[in-house]
Amino acid sequence: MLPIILTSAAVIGGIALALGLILALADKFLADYGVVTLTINGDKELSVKGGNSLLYTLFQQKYFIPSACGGKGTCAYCKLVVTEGAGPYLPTEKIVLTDEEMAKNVRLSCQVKVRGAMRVEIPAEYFEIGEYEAVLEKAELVTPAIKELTFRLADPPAIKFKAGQYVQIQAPAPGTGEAVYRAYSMASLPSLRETVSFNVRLEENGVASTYLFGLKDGDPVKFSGPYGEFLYSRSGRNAVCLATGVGLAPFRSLIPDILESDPDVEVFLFFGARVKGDLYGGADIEEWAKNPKFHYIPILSGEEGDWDGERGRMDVVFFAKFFESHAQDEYYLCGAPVVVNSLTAELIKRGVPEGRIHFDKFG
Amino acid sequence: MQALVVLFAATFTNNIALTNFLGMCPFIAVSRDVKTAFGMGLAVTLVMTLTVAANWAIQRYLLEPYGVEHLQFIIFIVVIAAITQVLELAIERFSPDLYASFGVFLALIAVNCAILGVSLFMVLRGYGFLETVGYGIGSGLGWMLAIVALAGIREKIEKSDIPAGLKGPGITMISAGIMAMAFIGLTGLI
Repeated sequence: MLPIILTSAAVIGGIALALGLILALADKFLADYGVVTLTINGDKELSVKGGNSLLYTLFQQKYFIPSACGGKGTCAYCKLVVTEGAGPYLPTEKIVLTDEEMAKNVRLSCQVKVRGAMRVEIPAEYFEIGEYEAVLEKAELVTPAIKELTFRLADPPAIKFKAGQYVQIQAPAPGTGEAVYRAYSMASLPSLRETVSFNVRLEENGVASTYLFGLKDGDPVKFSGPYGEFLYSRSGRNAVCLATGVGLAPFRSLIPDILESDPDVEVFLFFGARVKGDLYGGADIEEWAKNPKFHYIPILSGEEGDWDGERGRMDVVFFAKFFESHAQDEYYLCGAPVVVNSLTAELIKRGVPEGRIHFDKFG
Repeated sequence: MQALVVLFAATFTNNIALTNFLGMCPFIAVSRDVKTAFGMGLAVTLVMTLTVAANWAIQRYLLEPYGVEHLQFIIFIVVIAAITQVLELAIERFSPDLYASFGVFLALIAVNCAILGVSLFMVLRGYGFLETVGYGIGSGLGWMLAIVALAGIREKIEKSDIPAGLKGPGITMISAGIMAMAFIGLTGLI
């Protein structure tokens, strides 16, 4: 019995050693692309270690490119124009890129590897993206399912973002502890700079929301950002903001921005919720209401006895009673994807051009 | 000569995908269009031939002389994983074009049971080296033939009106089953 155990161990050990050696050699000689030059926007040259994905390489160099899927090639946020050195398109890219994008040399930076000299175009707004560490300063339950979390920036000590933008908060996946990233809109004013707030709705089995709900004062979080194009268009048209539930979050920076930057623009906030207890952000709304240009229309869909405001589903009420007088306005929508999709479809059906509809969906 | 017979038998009459139903995961998942299926098939053929040859040598010169055949599974799997890894690195280095066409499939193949199946069958059937290589190439080509044919069928099915509940993997499994029955017709040919 003993000899066979020893022989087995020796054979397995020998094979493992031999294969390990082969892999180590292959890694050294085949995967080593040496130091290569990465040219960004035609003017900035970086010397980087070759062999990794473009996304990772840029990340190492502190260039943050939006990415939500963790480099799996599914979210397609990390698209960049690579004019030289990317090689042929990979099957994983062909799945998500359109023919027009491929004609313009758009690549998925998480799939493309840096193997030699490469020229890449990074949009100017990505230079503003950074990685931040912050600690929880205040957590407040604003409705039975929504917490408002305020973080104080630690490193770097301040953040610059545009009203309506979001960040990707890093949360540990249960079990593996692997980092997952979830997008949350800033629900505080950009001018605060040293603190940011988020409105987090507790989702059943939600990895990030469960993690964020469990944080205690002083706990650290990491996030990257700011990202997003859900910004005030500065078109001068009146703004209609349609929000449901936690979809109010980006409007808490966006509405003050509109009111301040365009004193002539009227802002209408239609806020859909189930019962009175689900309407939050009262203090902010009172503040905005001091401006006569701001109009607040809460709409409740659930049973609520003591309520003399609008009743019914937000989209139904809006299109039945209010749309007529807002046909020429600019639209800002935020809420669950199904709500935003159906609102967008209905607005387009009623003749609002797509360019006047801005939205922020959360999954 | 014997090696050639084994090759053709493995491709047509004993098709690894259609008679043994091995390697089903990529067979269903990567058979949406002919071009991708072809890339996958090519990668499988390459890996199958190399790994079965390497495993033959290990079986013959290491496992049998030392009487440790019971380690077959674990060692074959490790060898397959290492070979796919090295192959991926090498292809990426020397031929970016080839890498673009089937490099991404190599990682999938490391855990493809058809590859392990071929190594195990090779031992069961007591093949010599040349027969083993023929068997590896033949099985790979057979698997490629099956997946490319299935992809061709699926491209056509895409445009037909099939019940909603059968769309996707459902109708694919049925098509594969019918194809397998058709392949029985080749029995006795070799």
